[in-house]
Amino acid sequence: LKRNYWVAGSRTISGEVGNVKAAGDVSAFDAKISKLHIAGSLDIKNSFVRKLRVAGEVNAENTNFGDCKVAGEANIEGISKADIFVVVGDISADLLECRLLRNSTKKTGVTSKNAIEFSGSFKAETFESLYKFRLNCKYDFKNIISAAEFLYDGVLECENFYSFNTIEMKGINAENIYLYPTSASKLESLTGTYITISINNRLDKNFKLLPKTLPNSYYARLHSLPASLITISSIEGDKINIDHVKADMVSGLSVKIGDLCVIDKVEYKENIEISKKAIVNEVVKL
Amino acid sequence: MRNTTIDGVGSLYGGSYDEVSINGVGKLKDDIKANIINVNGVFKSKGRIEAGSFISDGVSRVHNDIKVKELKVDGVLKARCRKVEADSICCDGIMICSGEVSADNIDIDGQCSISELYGDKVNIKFDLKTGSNAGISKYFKPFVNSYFGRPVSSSHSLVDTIECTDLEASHLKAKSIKAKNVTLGPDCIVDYLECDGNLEVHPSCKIGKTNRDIKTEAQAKRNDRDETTETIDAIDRIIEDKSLDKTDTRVIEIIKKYQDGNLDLSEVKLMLDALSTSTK
Repeated sequence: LKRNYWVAGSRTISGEVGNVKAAGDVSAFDAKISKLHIAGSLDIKNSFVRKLRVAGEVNAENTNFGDCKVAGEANIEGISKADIFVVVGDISADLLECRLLRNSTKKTGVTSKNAIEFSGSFKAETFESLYKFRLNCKYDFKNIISAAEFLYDGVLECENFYSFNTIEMKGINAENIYLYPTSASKLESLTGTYITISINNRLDKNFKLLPKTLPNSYYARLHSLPASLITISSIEGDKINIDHVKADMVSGLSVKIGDLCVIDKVEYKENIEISKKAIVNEVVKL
Repeated sequence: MRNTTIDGVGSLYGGSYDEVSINGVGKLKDDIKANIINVNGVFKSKGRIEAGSFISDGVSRVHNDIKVKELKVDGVLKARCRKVEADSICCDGIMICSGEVSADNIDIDGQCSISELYGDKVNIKFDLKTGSNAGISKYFKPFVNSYFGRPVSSSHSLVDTIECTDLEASHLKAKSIKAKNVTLGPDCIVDYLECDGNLEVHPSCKIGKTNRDIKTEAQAKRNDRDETTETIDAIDRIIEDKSLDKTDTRVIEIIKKYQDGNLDLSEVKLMLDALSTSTK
């Protein structure tokens, strides 16, 4: 029979444990815990927690988590794994591997002066950014969904990148790219297979199938920024569908230039479609 | 007269009261007369309601007539198959009525779906925020519609028939409107409009049959062309403000597209903005 704990003050836990509800400091080592709710700090080592909710500081070492939500600071030493890891606050990790990683609560406002930063090394199938975020850690994200400002110094690489807010980075290299056009974004190059830049953030089938912590309806109802033109030097992809874009060069197999685009040169191989509301200086068939 | 309060869960069997207040879940099983009915929570009524003021701050489902001087809805009011009569109606939430609603002053600033609406001054402002938050999945829409007993839209207020003296509305879908003075704001869809006095219709409205000559979007476009010379000056000022080169082929092309009617002024501004930021 698993033991359950109600903790007020400090407590050390080990072994197989059921539910723990704690107000105070909890230390755990070599423990397997079903549910752990803490208002206070947690030091945990060589353990597994199936469901973790913490309001406070977490120091973990070689610990795995199932569904983990932390409001506070998280420091992870060694290699830790998690199924879902949501942190509202700073996090540093030697290596955190998880299926779904999110940097904020879903109710957080997206505009802020200070950006959240992760430090260390992170691997996730999907990273959801709902708060102004600066990516300056080692990352290996398959899918990135950004509903807030997203800042990065280099060329961002992943499989699927969806941004519903402003971005600042050198470039993006991904298979599927969706960007919401806004003049506040700063971007030099865009390389991908399917590239969509549009004010209509109708979620495509690919997005709907991505694993994520929040439902599709959350992203469908995101409050859109006022539409303006995004400026990008070059866009290269197989299938390109853009509107509200100012670009020097757009090159692709199948290209659709939508409303309010100002493009210097468009190269295409198979199809091209240009809106009456777009301005294209030069069109070249490859 | 006595007062009665339900705190928690309870039922009322009707009668005459001075003040009725329901904080929690209340059920009315017979006709009631009161000066004030105050609902803070969930209220279900099978009896007829006659009151000085009926304030619903929560969810109220009424299956009989409502006759009040003042009706204030801050949550949801669902009146099914019956009549709602009031001197003034002020709705800041959702009001669904599959019967008749009549009042001197009707002010709906939220979402509504009403079968028949009769009044003197009617103001229907669809709150896009409420609507989009209500965002109903298409899979649940039939259930929601059958629950409310009327179709509900997350983009428009729905009223089948409106007859009033002054009507002011936006984001309204109506089958028939008969009014003296009508002001229709953006995104109204009306099948039949009859107006004897002042009529103002936003260019984005879609009007079916009408007894008046309405300035439609197409006409507006044509009139806009007449105003082109005025707006060209405005564009010139934007170009100067943003220190753009007037001889730039892109700028020339944008102006040409505007003159051809492919772009409107706000779109021109956006495009010129983008050009100016890139030249900086």
